[in-house]
Amino acid sequence: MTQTSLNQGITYAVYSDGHKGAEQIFPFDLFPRIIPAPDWEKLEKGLIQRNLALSLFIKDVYSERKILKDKIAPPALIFPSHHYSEEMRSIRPKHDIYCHICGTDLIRHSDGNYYVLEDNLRSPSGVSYVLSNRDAIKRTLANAFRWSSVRSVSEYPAELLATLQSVGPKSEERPSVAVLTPGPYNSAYYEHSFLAHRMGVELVEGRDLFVENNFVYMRTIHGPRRIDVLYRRIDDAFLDPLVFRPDSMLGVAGIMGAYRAGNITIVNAPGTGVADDKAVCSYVPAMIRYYLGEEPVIPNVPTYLCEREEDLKYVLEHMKDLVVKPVDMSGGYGVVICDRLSKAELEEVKQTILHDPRNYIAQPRMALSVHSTYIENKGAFEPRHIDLRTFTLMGKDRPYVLPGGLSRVALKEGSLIVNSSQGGGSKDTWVTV
Amino acid sequence: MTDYVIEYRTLTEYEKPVKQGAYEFLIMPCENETQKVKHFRLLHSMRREPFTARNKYGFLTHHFHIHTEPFEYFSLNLLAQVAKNPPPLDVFSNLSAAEENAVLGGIEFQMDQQSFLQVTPLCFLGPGDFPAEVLRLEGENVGSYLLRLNASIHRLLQYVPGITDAGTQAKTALEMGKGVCQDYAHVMIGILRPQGIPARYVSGYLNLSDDRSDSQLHAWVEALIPQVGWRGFDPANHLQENDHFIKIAHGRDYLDCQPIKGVLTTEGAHKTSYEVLVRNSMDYNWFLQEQQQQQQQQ
Repeated sequence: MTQTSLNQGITYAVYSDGHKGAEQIFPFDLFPRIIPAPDWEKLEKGLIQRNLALSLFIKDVYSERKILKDKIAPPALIFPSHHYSEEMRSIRPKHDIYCHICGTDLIRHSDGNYYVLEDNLRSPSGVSYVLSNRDAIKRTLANAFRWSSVRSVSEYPAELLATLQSVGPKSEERPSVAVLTPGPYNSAYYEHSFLAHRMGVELVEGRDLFVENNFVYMRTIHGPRRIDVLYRRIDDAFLDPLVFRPDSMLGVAGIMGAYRAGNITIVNAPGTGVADDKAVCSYVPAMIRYYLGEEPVIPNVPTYLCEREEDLKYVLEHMKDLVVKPVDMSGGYGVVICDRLSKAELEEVKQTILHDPRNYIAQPRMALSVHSTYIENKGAFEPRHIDLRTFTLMGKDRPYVLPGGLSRVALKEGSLIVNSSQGGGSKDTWVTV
Repeated sequence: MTDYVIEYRTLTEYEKPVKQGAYEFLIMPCENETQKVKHFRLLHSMRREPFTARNKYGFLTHHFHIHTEPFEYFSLNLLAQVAKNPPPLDVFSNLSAAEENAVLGGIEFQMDQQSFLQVTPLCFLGPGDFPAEVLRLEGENVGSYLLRLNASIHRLLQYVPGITDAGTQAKTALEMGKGVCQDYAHVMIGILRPQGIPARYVSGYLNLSDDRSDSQLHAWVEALIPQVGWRGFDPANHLQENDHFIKIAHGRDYLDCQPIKGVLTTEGAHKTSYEVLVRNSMDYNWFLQEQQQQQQQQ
């Protein structure tokens, strides 16, 4: 199996002090996770509801700010966030869609219910593993797969392309789409090239693009070709060196001016990160009630915001039962599971929180559901903790939720952190018909 | 009405040829109730004509994006004739200080003006960084306070050309007690915003009535007075904005109003020089004649 992944080039890279972004394979467990159709139906409804509310929230934050004026959410939650983008105050994305591609992380608690752990609204990754895992399963367990009724995931690239084309800057024409990658040294480069290839669109780097007269062009051997929709897999800060970080070599000088002039659609819109801050996540149920007048279909994992005095008090008193996370980091970086810590380490975490309470949230250590997983060095199936990264597409016409998603599994015995960057693996997810 | 001719000249020379470059200029006087650009001409050393774009606050920028021919120097010369009417000088509302506070404290107002209420790193000041008497007194109207603050900041800093640079923070300038127009503006903003009075950084040209030539752009502050509106204050010169001030743009701080931004692919050093000239257009008859000749030719 390992050899298959490597041969196919399905890899990711880890950033830490030791090895600088070396490609590693993403361990894959053959035992699929099965989600029954009725469960999935409810999850699908809940994911669409949630991402609709988030999109309305982002639009509101950058325009009228009604939710803040009505005091449903506090301004202190929004404006100090590193991901708030003043640029977006004067830009309205096509069809008011901000989050075209959302990656919502779910967990299943021991009570049998699913909960939302967090939203990923910038450039959620992992979908290429879902498709590759399915290919691998079909090859390896051909018979078992044939006799199971499993919903297909292979439409995803076509659905993604349709989503991107539906938000072209000029509605009447067939827009040209490209995927912008930071380059081969990025941890998700495999996915960038995979998606571009499967959609049949160009994979470009910043240096392949330029702006002239507020239009974005790609250099080709046949001369410049206009790009209408850019699915960018680089962070906001690197998008336009004339507007954001001047030292960025990854972006395109002048692209924000082209975006403001309505000549290109950037996917996801800049500034969406303001809503995937882990502190904002706890307000999503309130957003669903406020914008949609509905009750949330999928509840949140209870979250304590350290900036709130009463929450902070609770957190400091119940450290042992909690998981502490910085609000603005992803990939499992900076997550502290407190019951594993010594007294001195615990004290250190407390001081870190007290130093900058706005920057931390805490969640109860949820009894993540476990699933049989083949453990290679023991040669046996053992229970391991899993979560589920889902993928929702929000285009102009209709939302699409990838049936299933990426089940991530913590391969270390007893570990709760499933992120690939922290030694997690993955499973295929089967949604029954 | 006063007619000005404004000239902005810049030359950058590069040690090694520049293969690719993108430049954004924010130097064109803006148009508003009190000023209008009658003519302008942009002369430059590039083979490609610039295009214009709008920045996040709607101000006009000129872009040169060069990706074909390498170049070793870049000169740009903006000549603009601007008609300026005197801006309103009234700063007093009909409201009591308490009523003004009710406006400033309203969540609607705060959310709409949030961009100019949030402190940025360049204008951040702590409570101990300035004397307490520069804060607004209880019962003091916003208008009177702004006039008083304008005078106080003028006294707090000594104008020393070249003492600070583009990245100098308000806090540093106050510690030194010295600065240029940009530092005066950042200090004033850093004092106003935490008190709930929206304040924005303004870049522009100042017509100095004497024969001094101002080699750089000027900076001042606009503050929002309840019921009255935005009014301009120039703490560096202890003036209210009058018809000698020609605005280019406003923003949260200097970084939103940088006159030149560039992203280049080059090795080696470069040397940039600027010159800014503002003259009453009566002294620039040749310019008008030239314009007329051009129009006749067309």
